[in-house]
Amino acid sequence: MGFVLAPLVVTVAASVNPTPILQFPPSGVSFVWFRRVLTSDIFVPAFRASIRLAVVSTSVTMLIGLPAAYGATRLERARLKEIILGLLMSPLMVPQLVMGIGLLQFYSYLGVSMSFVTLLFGHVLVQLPYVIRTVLACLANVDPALEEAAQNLGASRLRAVVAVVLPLARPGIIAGGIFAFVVSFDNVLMTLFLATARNVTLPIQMLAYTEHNLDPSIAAVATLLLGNSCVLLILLRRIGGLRV
Amino acid sequence: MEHYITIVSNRVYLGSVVYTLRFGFIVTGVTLLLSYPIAYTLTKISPGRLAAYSLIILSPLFVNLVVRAYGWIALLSKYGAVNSTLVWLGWEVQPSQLLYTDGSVLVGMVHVLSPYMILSIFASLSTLDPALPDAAANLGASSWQTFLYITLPLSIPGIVAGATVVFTSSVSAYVLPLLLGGIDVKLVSTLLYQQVMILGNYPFGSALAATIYILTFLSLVVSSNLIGQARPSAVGSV
Repeated sequence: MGFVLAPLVVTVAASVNPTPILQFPPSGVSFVWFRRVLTSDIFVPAFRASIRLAVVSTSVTMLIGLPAAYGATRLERARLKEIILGLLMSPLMVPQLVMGIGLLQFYSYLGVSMSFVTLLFGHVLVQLPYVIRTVLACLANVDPALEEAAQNLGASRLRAVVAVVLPLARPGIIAGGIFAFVVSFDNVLMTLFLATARNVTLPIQMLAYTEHNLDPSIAAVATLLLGNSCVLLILLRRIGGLRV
Repeated sequence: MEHYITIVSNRVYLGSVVYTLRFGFIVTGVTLLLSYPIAYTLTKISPGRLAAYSLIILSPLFVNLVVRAYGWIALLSKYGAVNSTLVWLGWEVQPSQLLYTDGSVLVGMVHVLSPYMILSIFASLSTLDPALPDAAANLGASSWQTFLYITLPLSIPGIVAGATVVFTSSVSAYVLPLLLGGIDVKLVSTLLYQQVMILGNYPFGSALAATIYILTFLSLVVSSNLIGQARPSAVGSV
C-alpha cells in the first residue's frame, strides 16, 4: 500500500517547498509554486487546451459510441455483432505509440496538415472502446421488453430509446463519459505525436518541463491534478461505475 | 524491406530490440511476483476492507502518467525522500544516484502496471471454487502443496491475461523510461521517437513502429492460445 501511495504523497509534500529544489522533507511550507503555476503563461494555456480537447472529444465520442453500443445490443446476427464490436474495440489492442505514428503517416498521405481536428480524431479513436465497453455493460441490464412496451403504447422507436432506454442506462453513460474524459485529459503518448504548437496539452507541457527542470512547480501542477482525480474518483463511486 | 534489414543487421538496432524484449520480460516478471501475493490476499479479506483496498490499488489509474513519474522523481532524486531517509538513518553518508538508472525505470513501470496485473489475477482467483482447496486440505495436502497444485494452476488464465497487458505495455513504453531513465534509454520506442520527431525519418520510424507492433501482436496471439480467448484489455499507453 505504501508503495502505491508514496509517490503521490511525496509529490504533494514537494509542492509546498519554498526553495526551487526538489526535496523531501520540504524545508518549509509555502504556496509560492501554486501562485506561479496558476499565473504561468505555459501551464494555464496548456490546461485550457487540455480541457477544450477533452470536452470536445468526449462529446464526439459519446455521439458515436452511444448509437454504436445501442445498435450492437439490438443486432440479431451474432457474427456481424462480433465483427463490429471487434472493430470498435480494436484501438485497445494497438500500442498508442504505434497508433500515434500510424495516424501521423496517414495524415501525411492524405495531405492533411496537423490541426485541432487531427488531434481530436486520434483522441476519439482511443476513447471509443472505453465508452462502448462501459455503456454496453449497462445496456445489457436494460430489459428490451421495456422498449417494446413503450413502442406498443405508441411511442416511435427514437422516442422509446430517448425516453426509456437512455434514462435506464444513465449510470453507464455517465461512467463512460467520465472514462472518456480521463482518457483524453491524461493522454500523453499519442498526443506527443499529434499535438501542434497551438494544441499543446497539459501532460505534454509537463513532460517537456520535467525533462529539463525539476523545480516544485510541476509538483504544484501535479497536486492540483491529484485533486481533480479525487473528484472524478468520488463521482465514479457515487454512480457505481467503479467496480473491481 | 531495406529498413527491416537495417534493424536486423545493424548492431545498434538489433541490440535495442533485444534490450526491449529483455525489458519487457523483466518488468513482467517483477510485476507478477509483486502482484500475486497482493491479489491472493485480496481474496481472503472481508468485503468492506476489499472495497477500501481496491480503491487504493485502482487510484493510480486515475492519476496522470507524468504526475506518477514525477512522484518517483521526487522519491528517488538526490534530495528526495528515499535518500533523505537513508542519510537520516545513517545508512549512507552521501546521497546516492537512484534516479536515471535501470532500477528507477523498473520501479516506475511496476508501479504503473501492477494494478492491471492485480486486477486480472484477482478476477481469476475469485472465480475459483473454495471447495477445491478445502478438498485438497482434507486429503492431507499441506497449505503449500494446496497452493502449488490447486490454486496456482487454476489462476494461470489471470496470470497470462495480466502478463499480456504488462508485457505489451512494457515493450511499447516511452514516457516513463524517458522521465525515469534519463538520456541513454536503449528501447526501440526511444529510437522510434528520435527517428520520427527529431530526424523526420518516417519510413525507418514506421519500420521500428512495426517492430514494436509485431512484438505486441505476437504476445497477444500467444496469450489467446494459452487461455482460449483474447479479451481486449488496454495495451500500451505508458
